[in-house]
Order: sequence, then C-alpha cells, then structure tokens
Amino acid sequence: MADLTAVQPPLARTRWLGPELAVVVAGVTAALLFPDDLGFITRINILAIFTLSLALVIGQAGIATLGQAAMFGAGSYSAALWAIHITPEPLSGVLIGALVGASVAAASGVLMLRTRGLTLLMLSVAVAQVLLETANKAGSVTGGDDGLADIPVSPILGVFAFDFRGQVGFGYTLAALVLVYFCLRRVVASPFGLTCRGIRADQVRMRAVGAPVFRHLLSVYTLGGAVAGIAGALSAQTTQVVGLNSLGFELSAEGLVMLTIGGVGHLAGALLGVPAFMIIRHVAASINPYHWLLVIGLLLIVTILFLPQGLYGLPEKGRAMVRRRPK
Amino acid sequence: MTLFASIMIDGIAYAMILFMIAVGLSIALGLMHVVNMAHGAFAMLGGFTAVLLMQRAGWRYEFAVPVAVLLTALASVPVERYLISRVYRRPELDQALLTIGVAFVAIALVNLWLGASFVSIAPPPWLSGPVDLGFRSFPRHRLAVILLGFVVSAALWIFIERSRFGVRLRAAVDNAGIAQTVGINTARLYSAAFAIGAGLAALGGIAGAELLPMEANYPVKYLVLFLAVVAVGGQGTLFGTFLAAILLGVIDTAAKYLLPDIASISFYLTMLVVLALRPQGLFGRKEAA
Amino acid sequence: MTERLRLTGVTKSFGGLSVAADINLSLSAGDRTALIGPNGAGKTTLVNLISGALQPSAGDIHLDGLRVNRLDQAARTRAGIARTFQVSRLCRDLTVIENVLLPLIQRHRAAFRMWPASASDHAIRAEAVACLEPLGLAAVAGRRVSELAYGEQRLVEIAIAIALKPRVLLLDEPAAGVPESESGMILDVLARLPRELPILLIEHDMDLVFRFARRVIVLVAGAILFEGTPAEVAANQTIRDIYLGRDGHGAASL
Repeated sequence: MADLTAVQPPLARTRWLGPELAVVVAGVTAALLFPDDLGFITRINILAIFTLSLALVIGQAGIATLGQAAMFGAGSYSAALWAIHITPEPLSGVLIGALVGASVAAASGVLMLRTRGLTLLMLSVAVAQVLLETANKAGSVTGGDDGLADIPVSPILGVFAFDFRGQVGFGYTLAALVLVYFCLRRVVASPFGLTCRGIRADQVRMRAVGAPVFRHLLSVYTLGGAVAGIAGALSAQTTQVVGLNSLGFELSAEGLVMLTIGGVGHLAGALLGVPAFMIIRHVAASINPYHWLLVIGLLLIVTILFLPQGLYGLPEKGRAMVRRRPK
Repeated sequence: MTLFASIMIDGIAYAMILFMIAVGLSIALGLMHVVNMAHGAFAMLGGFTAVLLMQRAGWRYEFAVPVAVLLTALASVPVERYLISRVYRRPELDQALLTIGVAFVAIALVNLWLGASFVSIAPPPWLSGPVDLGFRSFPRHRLAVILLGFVVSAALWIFIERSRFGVRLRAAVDNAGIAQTVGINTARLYSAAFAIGAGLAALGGIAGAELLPMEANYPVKYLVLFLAVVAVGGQGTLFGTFLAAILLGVIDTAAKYLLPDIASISFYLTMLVVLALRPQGLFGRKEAA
Repeated sequence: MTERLRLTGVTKSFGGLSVAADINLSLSAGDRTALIGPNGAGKTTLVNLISGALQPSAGDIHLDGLRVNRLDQAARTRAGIARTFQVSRLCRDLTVIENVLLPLIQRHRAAFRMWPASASDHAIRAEAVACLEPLGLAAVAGRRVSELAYGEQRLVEIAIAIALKPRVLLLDEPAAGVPESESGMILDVLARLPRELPILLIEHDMDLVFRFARRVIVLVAGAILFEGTPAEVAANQTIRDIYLGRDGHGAASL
C-alpha cells in the first residue's frame, strides 16, 4: 500500500482549527494592544474578507480580475439601502450584501468568464466602472457623488449595540472574518477546490478530463462575489457611510496588491498581506503620501521577482537559503 | 454640421493621442506577450522631460520635444532589459503586478522630485492660436496633433511593413521560436521594439498634454484608457490599435458633446460591448486553446 | 465484437487547407490500432477531431452508436473518449495524486461539492492510489509533477486517461521526448492496459508500433493511405518509400 502520509487528506487538515484560532488570537491581541485604533483594525478585518474573496477567485481558480470592487460596492450599497429603507437589522443586511454580490458576480461572470488574459482583465474593469458611473448618475437612490451617510444600524441580535469606541464593530467583523475563513478553508480542501486549482493550472487539461470549465469558473466567481459582498456590507454597517470609491478601481487594485504581498496561492496570504499593507501605508503615508507608493511599488517588484509566494512563502524561502549554505 | 465636424476633429485628435501612446503597449503585448501596466509612465516621462528641458534648461520647444522623446526611448532600454524581461514567460497576472509596481515607483519618484501639481507644456507660437476652418475655428495645436498622428501611423506602417527591422519584428510576433532559429536576435529586437513604443508614448504624452494633463499620477490615472485601446483593437496589430483608438476616441468625444450624462459610461460600455462580442479584439487573432 | 468508435467521412479543412480528408475508421472492444504517418500528415489533428478539440467540417463521429459531433471536449470525455497529449499537459504544481484525483472527481460527479466529506473523499483517494500502483507511480504520489522525470510524467498522463475509465483511449505519442532508458517503462505500461479497451496509438517509434499494434493505419496528407496488419505495412513498398523506415523521435505533427 502506498505511503499516503505525505499526502494529508483534506478533511483532516480542515478539522484542525489552528489557523482560525490564530486569527482570533491575532485580532484580539491587536485590539488589546491598540484600544484606540479599533476602527483601523476593523477596517483590516473587512479588507481581509475582501482579499479572501480575491484569494479564492485568483489564487484558486486563476481568474485574474481588477474589478472585484464591483461586488464589494454592490454589497455595500445594497446593505446600506436595506438598512435605510427596510430594516437596520445588521445580520439580514449582511445576507443581502452577500446575495447582491453573488448576483453581480454571476451576471458579469456570464459575460466575462469565457474570455482570458487581457480581455478578461479589461472586462472586469469595465463592469466595475459601468457600475460606478451608474451609481454616480442614480443620485436619488445612491446619493451620487456624495454617497450615502448616516446609515442606521441596530444592535446585533438585539443585544450588541454599536458603540463609539468601536468594540462591537471590531468583534462583529472579526467574527465574520473567522467564519468566512473557516468556510473558505473547507471549500479549498473540497473536490471543488482541487478542480479549481486544476483549472488555474491548465484549462485544456481540465477539459480533457471532462470538467465543465465555464460552470466551475462561474461558480467560484459567484462565491467570491458573495464574500466580497459580505465585506462591503460590513463596511457600510461599521462606518455607516458608503461612497463611490467602494466600486472603484483603486480598491480592486489594492486588494490585488495586498494579496500578492501576502501570497497569492494561499488563503492565508490574504490574512498576511492585508495587515502588512495597511500598516506600511499607515506608517509611510504619515511621512509623505508618495513615500508609501514608493514602498509598495518596490515591495511588489521584489515580491514578484524574488518572493513569488509572498510573505506566506518567507519561511520556506528562509529554510531553502539555510539549506544551501555550506555546512 | 459644425457639431459633427467638432466631434470628428476633437475625437480624432484624442484618438491620435491614444494611438501614439497605446501602440507601444500593443507591440509589447503582441511581441513579448507582456502586459505592461507601467507603459503610461513613458508618456509621463516624456512630458516631464520636455518640461524640464524647456523650463529649467531654457531650451526651445522644437529642440526639447525630440530630445525628450529620444531620452525616454533610451531610458526604457535598461527598464526592459533588467526588469520587464524577467517576467516575459510568467503568467499575465505576475506581469501586471510587477509593472504596476514599476508604475508606482515611477509616480513616487516623479512626485518626490517634481511635486504633485499639474504641469503644462506650452506649445510654441507657431503651434498656438486658432485656425479658422470656415464653419468653426479650432486650436492650431489640436489640428497639428491630428496631422502628427497620421504621419506617425503612416511612418510606423511603412517601417513595419517595408524595413528589414519590420520583417524581423513581424516574424518574431508570428513565432518567436522559429525566428530565433533563423538567427533573429530576439532580445535585441525586443529592446528595440520596446524603446520605439516608449518613444512614441513620450511623443503622445507631450502632444496630448492638453487633453491628458501631465501630473505624477498620470500612469495610473490613464492606464485603463491605454489598455482599453489595446484590448479593443487586438494586441499586436497596428491597424487594430489605430482603429480602436479612433472608435473609442470619437465615441467618447461624441458622448461628451451629445449625451453628457452618459459620457463617462460610454467609453467603458463600448469596451464591454466589443470585448463581449469579439474577445480577441477587432483585429486580434483568436487564441488557440 | 462490439464497435465502440466509428468515424464516417470525417473531413476538416481550414479555409483552403485540408487537414483531414474523408476519414473512415472503426474501433471495437479489444482493438490495438496504431496510427502512423509522416510529420504533418494530420495524426494529432485526427485525435483532436475525435476528442472534440476540433469540430469536423463534414462527416460523423459515433461513440457506442451515439453521434457525438455536437458535444464539446469535456462532454465527449464524460461520454467516454479519453486522450493523452503529445507534449505533456499536466498540472505541474499539483502533486501526482492530485492530478489523478481530477479525473476521478469528475467521474464520481463530486466536482461541485464545496466541502470535504470524509467517506467519499477517502474512497476517491483510494481509487487514485489504485490507479497509480500498476503504473509504478504510487511511490511518487505525493511529489509535485514538476519534480518528476519526463518518462514518469508521461506515465501520469496515461494514469489520468485510465482513471476516466474510458470507452476509447487515444494515445498521442506516449513515448515522445522520453529518453531511451525510460521508454521501456512506457511499453510495459501499454502492455498492461485493460484488455477490452480499444486503443488508438499515434507513434513514430516503429519498434513500439510493431510490438503493440494488431492493426496499423497509415495517414498521409490527411487521408488514409493504407490499413492493415503490421506485417502488411512493413511489406508495402509505397509506405516504405514514404517512411524510409524511420523510427526515431519525430518532430511535432500537425
């Protein structure tokens, strides 16, 4: 019988909840160390969820997109409108955000996912831009250029009311992050996840094993849209503000950069890259806004050329370098 | 009638700018199969170099512009050889990310050195002022841009179709492997093609400074425009890029004149429609699976 | 003898260029047929036409009596037509066992299950190992494909095709690019493939052809020039002239 210990079965890997626990510990530690920066940490949680959606769509299935903000913004606006017009109850708002994000992804996916390369990239940008301009023009609904403000949000489960210090917001988004991470880890370990990775590697090969490639791409892109929509909804609820930048190219590009720095091929890359990026930007931007652009630019170049696995791959790179040194 | 003429003249001027800048991107994509998100930086470099030569060194426009174009082309060579060529065989996403990084660095350097404000390039007296075409008068500069665009397109076409360099270029686009076995030094070819593209971008940037103002953020701000032209036209085709530039330029201008409400969407809608119906672009080759 | 695959009048042309002309072919259970021909004769094109990578300009392709012209590549694979590629197309960053899990997941209709399920995953895994063992790949199951020798990679290609439990198997130059030292491995594996599975083998290696095939089809310029036993082919002067007894590793055919 072959030695299968080198090939750990996926379910065993997901039963081990270490990674999720690590996220909780890291989040709580950060909150305890920096109690006045809970808004900043909350933003990190939300962007981490957004970047996880990219880790799924790009890292697992190879769909190179610069338009993921379309689903984030759609989730943001829909959750805001839900809160304003229907009910300020937050959990239903998140569900709405997920559904709308998924719908936008599915609709645009049908258009985009039969294409590849530059065409796919440009279509993703075009979709997000068209949505942005539509939101800009539909001022009566979306607030146009000013966006929506004073979005009402009632206590979570009727008990946890959002406070000025941001503690509830922090806990709320952290819980969401852990839940999303838990679910996505299982998706990655599932047969669906492996099939997506196969598609990322070689679409022709996958057709030759009978895989309905387009249906797979549409499924994973829709799931990614739901996750991005959740992030958008959380953003609307915790900041109580939604603007056109939630649909903007900058957000999509930022997500991509954060994921790259953390490591594209792994979900954990999102969890590493987002705090790294946000902290660097915070520090460098306070000196000079263009300094951080320089740092990020150099970081990107270095990552792509020398550290293709991003921060996630650092320990492995370090081990490889140690091994190469003569004893 | 005046409206139509206005749209055409403004639209084609805009299109010529887009073409001159985007053609280098299209060549890089078709020849080296590399997505260069930093391409706009060459347009920016050309613009700022021209401004520096004119304002700080006191050169005349007529000298500053060609020198700026030349300097940009030369500067692009080490960038291509030592940075961009390292991702030629990597997946598109890696290429896009590396070049975005290069664009960021370019923006930061320009800003740190020259500040974040807009910089204008004042054309010389013989290019300024209005020209009366009977039904309307137009800025002389804009008409000059149209003329320049056509001259550049024609020259480029002749160069690529007739010169020995052009033959080698087209051979390498068709099949790099075979081109190499026939003795074509593809590395030098790539550098040369890249430099030509960068020089043209510089020219387009300088000429288009009225429509696309020079500032540190230039590469990222207008990146989508240039990419759209290449994607819609089909990568690696001169004619495709030209036609796409005209299409997008005229439609965008027409929308601004006729339907200002949807003007901003029209550009992206056009791109969406074309790419949805013809993913390989108007003149692109259908990619084999 | 049950007929599995039938091609009638299959023709393909690109504009004015004809790459397949009125091909009539039949494969039945247990067949061991080799497809030979000079470079550019259209052998891989024919495989592409059968597998669905290309659509015929005219003619019909029937699998188990069903007309499959309308089905795309993935659908034809699911219907039972499996192929390997002349130049290995494997997921290089995935492990050997993961590469074999891909077709199994499709066959078990688990491809859209988005959560791991203990019993089912284990069963599929066990089947993957069972696919690798007869090919001698069980020991490298956990290694990345990019780390394998090219000969082993060619075997993984075959493992993937077999894992599909196909009705018809198309092997496109399985020994191509494999060094002499490793080609014996390939021949061993070919000999041990399921008896009743009809196999169409494209090969330039005449040694392999004569040891493996019971029937040989000679394809020249997109048309079938001759069909017969290996001995008949070897004795045919016209074919000898065209081929000049070549048995080396050929360059890519069309």
